[in-house]
Parts: sequence; structure tokens; C-alpha cells
Amino acid sequence: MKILLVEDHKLLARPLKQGLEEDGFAVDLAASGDEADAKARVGNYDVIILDLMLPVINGLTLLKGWRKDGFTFHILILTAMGSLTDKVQGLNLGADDYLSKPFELSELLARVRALVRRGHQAKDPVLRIHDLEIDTGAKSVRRAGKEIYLTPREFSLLRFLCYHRGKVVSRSMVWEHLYDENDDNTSNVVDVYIRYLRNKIDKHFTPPLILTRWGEGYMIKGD
Amino acid sequence: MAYRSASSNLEGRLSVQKELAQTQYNDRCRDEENRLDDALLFQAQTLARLVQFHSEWGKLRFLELHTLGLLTSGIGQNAYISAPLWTLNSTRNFAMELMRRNSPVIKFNPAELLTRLDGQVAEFFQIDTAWNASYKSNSLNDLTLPIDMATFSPEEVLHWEFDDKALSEKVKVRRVVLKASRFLFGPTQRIRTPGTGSGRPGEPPLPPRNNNPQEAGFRPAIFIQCAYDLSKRDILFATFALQRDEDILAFAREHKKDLSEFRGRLLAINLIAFLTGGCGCFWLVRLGLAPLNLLTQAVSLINENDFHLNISQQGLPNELKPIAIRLGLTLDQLQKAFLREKQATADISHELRTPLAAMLATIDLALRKNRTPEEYQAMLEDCRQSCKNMRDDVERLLALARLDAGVDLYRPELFDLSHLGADCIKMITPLAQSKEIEIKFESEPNLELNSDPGKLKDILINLLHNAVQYNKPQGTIHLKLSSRPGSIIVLVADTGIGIEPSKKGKIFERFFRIDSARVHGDSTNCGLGLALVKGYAELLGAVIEVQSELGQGSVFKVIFPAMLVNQSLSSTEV
Repeated sequence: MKILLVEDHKLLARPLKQGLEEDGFAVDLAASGDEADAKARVGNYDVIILDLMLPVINGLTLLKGWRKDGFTFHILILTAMGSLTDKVQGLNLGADDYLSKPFELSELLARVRALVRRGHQAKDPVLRIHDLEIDTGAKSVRRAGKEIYLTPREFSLLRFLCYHRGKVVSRSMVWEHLYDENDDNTSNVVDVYIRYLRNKIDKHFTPPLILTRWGEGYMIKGD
Repeated sequence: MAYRSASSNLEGRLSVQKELAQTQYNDRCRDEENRLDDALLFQAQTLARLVQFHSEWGKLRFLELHTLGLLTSGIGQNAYISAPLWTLNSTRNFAMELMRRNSPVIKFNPAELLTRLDGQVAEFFQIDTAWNASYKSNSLNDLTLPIDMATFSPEEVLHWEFDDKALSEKVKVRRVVLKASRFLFGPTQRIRTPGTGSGRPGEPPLPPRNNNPQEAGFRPAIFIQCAYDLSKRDILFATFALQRDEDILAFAREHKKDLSEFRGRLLAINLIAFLTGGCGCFWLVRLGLAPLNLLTQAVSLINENDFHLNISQQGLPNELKPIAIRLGLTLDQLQKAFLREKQATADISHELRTPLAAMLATIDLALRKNRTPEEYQAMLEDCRQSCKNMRDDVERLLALARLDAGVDLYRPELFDLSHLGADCIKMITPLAQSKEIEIKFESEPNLELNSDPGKLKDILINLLHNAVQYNKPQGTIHLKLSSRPGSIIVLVADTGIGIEPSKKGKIFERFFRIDSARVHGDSTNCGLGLALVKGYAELLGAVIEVQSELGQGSVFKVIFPAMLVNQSLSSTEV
């Protein structure tokens, strides 16, 4: 899950980014309106967290422009104003959710997760594939009732696969969604993490859920 | 006023009427007196004539003639023709003597007397003669009208006098004393001869008749005294007076009636005038103030959402048009101020909320899971930084609020500006170093002056902070402190991003920040720095000059009036 965080206050952007990353998201930063616009159109983001007070280009203007041009990523607006008009205007212009500063970090994370779920048509926070249960809220994974511990990267990879259940995800897709621009682009990493994942959830269980399509990518399938 | 003048007029009329009545009365009295006196005189004269007629005149003439015949019979037959003439003359005394002896008594018919007395005024009369014949009227009884025959006008042949005499205790009379010679009165002779007046006031005394005193002495004199009872006259006068008083009373009553009528009329007029005036006034005022009502209504419709004065200019009279226009302008300004304040409030809330959000996010993150001490330390440092930013913003807001309220005063003290400058440089150095900015500090050696150091420090810090914040990495800042006679110059120059000419005027506005600054700086100040600089500069009486070129840098110059301590000394030397 890739997130674009558009916030010009460094002291706020830093902890937010760290928090999101610890939650398993890949986060890119933009500190001005033009930077945000450029990145949003090119990158493949699931969610964009947008602060409204931005230099160069205003947040609402960006919002309007993106929706007009057909971008479907979810947008969560951060507003310091808190006035009714801002919220209403933001939502009316195409935002999916809003949060007014100051907010609790947990609330922000929860909302972002909800947006991701929505994006993947998954209303149930618990993803179930066969006997594999992934509680995206509690960050716990069970298979056949047995609790499995995953690292954040593993968890986000598993979640990603689950959100694309029955579909083949290519390595590059995985790469784009799980790693931010600062990571080195070596496709091997994906393979490595698939192997870690398989070790944890497939090795001691039957049937194997994570499947390989040679030349294309990976897939998780439950039936 | 009308009442007063009218009443005074009426009173004047009354007094005139009173005077008139009095005059009338006086005239009547006088007329009555004169009439009575005239009647008295007439009576006296009539009596005198009667006396003359009824005395034995014939007898005397006969006697005279006989005496004349006797005397002249011896002279000749024609002698008695001319004889009477000189005998008359020579025998005048003789005749007098004869008369005196032969007519001691005045005899005349009282009945005839009564019929001839037609005045009927005199109640008392008394006739005295020089030959001691006298007559008294019956009414006198035992009273006597006193007369001194010898002294009463002895030299004159005809003379009368009026006076008032008291006959007795109860009786007071007015009498006329008439002295006449027996032979003076003839039927054709006028009674009123020039000689003496009747004692009436106003008549000039006429020259006395040429009376031969000797002749008068020989003529036998008759003294007629006529008198009437004054009490009767007084009664008459009293009736006159009564009538006069009645008249006056009538006048007074009439006057009162007129006055009250006038008063009533005046009151009625006043009342009506007052009422109509009042109503008219009321109506006029209402009419005049009706457009004011319009204005009031329009004003009452104004509320915080709608600052527009909903009134048409045409419907107002000329007096109210300027008010309406002014009101409209004021409302516009008010609206702008309102909006600005709303904006400012929004800005403040935004500015403070973001550092708060940052702090909260950092702390939340720190507590989410176990971390290394280094991580905690870093997060705490971040929190601290956010706190400091908030503190600075709050301080600036408070300073501006104080300036607005006029609470901030100019607090002068003696200090050295160059030391202050050095302190400020020290404070800004860490921030400058983090951006690798070079600081150049230039100052005149001795800048001891009397001014407000706190405010100057704030000005310097803010300017330097801006210089660092808006500066390019590895740029330079230049602080120069210098003096001119009568003023001090503070110069802060940077090699920063510069200011757009169009924005130059706005940079001193509150909460104004040039957008690109958000990228470069820490966005720690919320756009209040220059506003504060401007506020303090005004307090010091300073002038701020800004020169800037986009992309090159900016120069801020603050010139404020102050006297250097040693400069004042040296100027007196010169």
C-alpha cells in the first residue's frame, strides 16, 4: 500500500511518515502543491493524505484537478481550520475522508486503513482465505487457528496479495506498492520476502496458498 | 406680553376715567359754588337796589327842592331853575345829614322782597347802613353776620367780597359782603362793574374804578350781606361725590369686566395657538424625521452576516444623504475588519494547531511501541522544537495584542546598541549555521543611547530570523549598525529569495507569508515577525525602508531618531 503524504510542516510530516511505515505502508512525501501534483500523477498511490494549507498550489485546487482528471486514489484531507465549510467543501470536491488537526496518530492510521479496504472492496477488516485469517486492524495472522507472527513488510506483502486475491501480481506491482522511492529497486527483494512469507504461512500448512506464475508473478488463492 | 400691554392700556383708560370723574366732580362743585356765589351776589345786589328804592327818596328830594325854593326865593323869579344844581352840590352834606336823621330804618316790604328774590339760595341776609338802619332776615334769628363797616373797603364806592364764616358752632355759611352807595344804583346800570372781582379763581383782577375817596365818604353806604348754609352745599357736594364714586365704581367694574374678558380671550387664543402649534410642530417633526425612521430600519437589518445598508439614496433628504453614505462606508470598513479578524482567527488557529498536531503525532508514535533510547531522544527533541515554535508564535501574538491594546509602552533606558547587536547575532548563529549561512556583523564602536532595548532586540531578532529563513543555502547575512546626527540606522541584508515588488507593501501585514517560504523555512513563524517589527518601529518613531530584488536578496533598513549619549555632548561643543 503506497501512500503519498502531502504536508509542508516537517515536524508533523516526519512522525506521520514513520507511523505509517511502521504500520506497513510505503510512504512518499511532498512538501508543496506542485511537488504533490507531480508525484500524484505519476506514482501509483492507494491513498493520498492531503494537507489543505500548502504553498504554491492550494490543497483544494489539487483535489479538484485530480478528480477532474479521473484519478481514483483515495484522498484524506488534513485541515487545521476545522470549520464546517472546509470539511464540507473538501468532501464535496471529491475527498473521501477528512481529519482535523490536531489528531491522534491511531485515528489517522485507522482511517487510512479503512480507505485501503474500501479501495479493494473489502468491507470486512478480517481477510479470509481458506483457513488463513488476516485481521488488518489488529495486525494478526492466523492459519488454522494458530497465530503467526509476521514482520511489517511481510504483513503488508501478505495483505497486498490478499487484496488482489485470485489475481496475479507482478513483481513490479509488488515493488511499487510496498516500497517507497528511497528503496533500491532490486527485484530480488520481492522474491526474498515471498520466500519468508511462504515459510511462515505455507510451510506447515496445507494447501499452499501463495502460488507462483512463472514469468508473471505471484498470486494468493484460497480455493 | 400682549396681556400686559393691553392691561396697562386698560388701566390707563381707567385712570383717565377716574381723573375725568374727579375733574367732573371738581367742575361740578366749582360750578355749583360759582352758581351759588353768583346767586348770592345777585341777591345782594337786588337787595341793595331794593333798599335804594324803598328808602324815602322822594321825601328827600322834596325836602331838597323845598329847601332849594326857600333858599332861592329871595334871589329872583328864575333863580330856582339853575339853583338846584349848585344847591345840590352844596347841600349834599346837608342832604346826607337830613337823610341820616330821617331814615333810621330801612323799610321795605318783605313780601315784595321775597317775590323779587328769585335765586332762593341765600338763607340769611342782613342789611346794614351807614346811618344805622339795619335789617336782618328771619332765618338769622339771633345770629348776626359780623361786619365792620368802618374798615370794610372804606375807599371804594362799590365792593364785594366772598368768604366763609362760622356763625355759630353748628352753622357755617358762605357769605358775600356788598358795600354799595345809595345813589349808585340806577335801573340801567350794570351790576357787574369793573372794580373788584368776585373772588373767583381764574379771573384776572381788573383795574379798580377811579373812586374818589372823598366822594365815597359822603355817600351813605349800604352793607348787604347774603349767606347760605354751607351744610346744604356740603350735602350737595356729597351727592356729587357720591355720584362721582358711583361713576368710578362703575368704571372700575367695567374695567375689571373688560380685563377679565380680555384675559379670557387671550387665554383662549393662546391655548388654541399652542395646541395648533404643538400639533403642527409634532406633525412637522414627524414628517422631518420619517426618513430617519427609514434609516433606522435599514440599520437595524444589519447583522454580522450582512453588512450592506439596504437603503436607496434617492429616498433620503439632502441632510441625511451624507449620513447614509458615511454609514455605508463605515459598514464596509467594519465588514473588512470583521473578515480580517475572522481570517486572522482562522490563521492563528491553523498556525497553532499544526505544531500541536506535530507534537501529538510525535508523542503518539513514541508510545506506540518500545523504542531505543536514541529514538526516544530524537522524538523528544522534535517535540521540544514544536513547543518552541508554538511559544514563539504565542509570544508574537501576545506582543501584537499588546501593541493593539496600546498597553505596550516605550520604556527608555541607557544601553549600548552594539552590544545588543552582538547578542542577537549570537542568538541567530545556530540557525544560520544549520543552513550554512555566513553572518557579517558591522557596528560603530560606541553606540550608547537612550532607547527601548527590549523592542529593539525584538526588531533585530525578527529581521535576522527572516534573513536566515528566506536566505539561500550558503548565503550571507549582513547586520550593520551606524549613526547619523539625530538618528540611528539598523541595516539587515540577506542574499535570499527576494521579495516581489507587488508584495512589498503586504509583507508587513499580519499573517502574511510569501508562499515559497514554506518550502525553505521551518515554517516556524506564522507571518507575524514583520508585523511586529512594524508595530515596534512605529512605537519608536522609526522609519522602515525595504529594498529587494527577486532572486538576489533583500535589505531592510530601520532608521529611528535617537541621540547618542556622547553625541549630545559633542554637539554642544560645536
